[in-house]
Amino acid sequence: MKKIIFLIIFLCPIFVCMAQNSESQRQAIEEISKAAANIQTLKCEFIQTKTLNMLNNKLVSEGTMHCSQPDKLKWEYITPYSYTFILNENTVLLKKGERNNKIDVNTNKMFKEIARIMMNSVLGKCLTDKRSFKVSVETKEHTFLATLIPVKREMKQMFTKIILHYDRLESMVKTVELFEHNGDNTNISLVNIQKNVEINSSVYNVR
Amino acid sequence: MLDKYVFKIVFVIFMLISIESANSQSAFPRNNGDTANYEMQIDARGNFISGICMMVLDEDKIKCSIINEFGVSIIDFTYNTEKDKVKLHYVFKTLNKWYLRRVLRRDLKRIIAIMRIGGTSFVDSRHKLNFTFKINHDIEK
Repeated sequence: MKKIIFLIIFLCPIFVCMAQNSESQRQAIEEISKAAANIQTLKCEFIQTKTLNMLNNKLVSEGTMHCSQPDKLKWEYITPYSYTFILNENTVLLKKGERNNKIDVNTNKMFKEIARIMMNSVLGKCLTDKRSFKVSVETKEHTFLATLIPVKREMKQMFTKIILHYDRLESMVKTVELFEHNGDNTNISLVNIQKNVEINSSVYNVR
Repeated sequence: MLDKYVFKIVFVIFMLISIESANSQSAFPRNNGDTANYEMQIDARGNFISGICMMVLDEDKIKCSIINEFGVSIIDFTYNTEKDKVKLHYVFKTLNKWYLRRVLRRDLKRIIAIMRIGGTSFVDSRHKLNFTFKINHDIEK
């Protein structure tokens, strides 16, 4: 009998704590999803830092990002190399120097996933995508740290986990961290963010 | 007869000067700790994929990582300068098949040899792959 009472006393706080955690997690996901639903367009600059484990080296790239819900994205690297990725509905256009490559995302799952992860990460829409990720959220003072573990095969091939840093004051994902199987990771920080500004449709021109 | 020998000697000297000149122009790592960064492009049947190739010389090994522009790792390999051998450490899952690893090892070895003398392209005619690489001095630590 003593043992049972001891177990109840011991386990009760754990269950209470778990219930509180799942409740705060649900609230965090709700807050992020609500904010994402209010973003129709997004324009910003980004700083991408790739850490190369084997070389013990870093590669810092910078560029601009334009995004219009639900399926338009322009991700353009300006320095130290120039490279443009445009998603317009079902078409991806890759531009490198004078070369263009047009890809139908329905025939190339990898690009579909890249486009989806880039767009949904910065908008915070990944959190509700239960088919693609196992999500856990940690609440800090002004930040939610959302850890996403890929479930889908295409995503699993690329990343072991993704961490989104959501700034509660700005109601925005400010940093995305991508972790790979070889121990490398990529940190993408968004700066000079402009929400719901008009973006000319020619920005997403894939012709 | 003498003319023939003179021609041969001049030709050999010319070749040696050309190779030395290419070597001095090349940014390929030659001393321990040297780094070099290339923009790479692979053309295959009208389409292309591109990425960044970063390398560092670590004693007798050239450590090299090939990533795409988004930062996703494609291949990590080392090239042993003494044994003239490529060892693949990481290959992106969709490329990680035994028959592709064999092609990669062979092509990477040839590419390294071409980069070493300041070359900028390599054609794998058997698999219809055209590799081009351009040094990028703007990529730094």
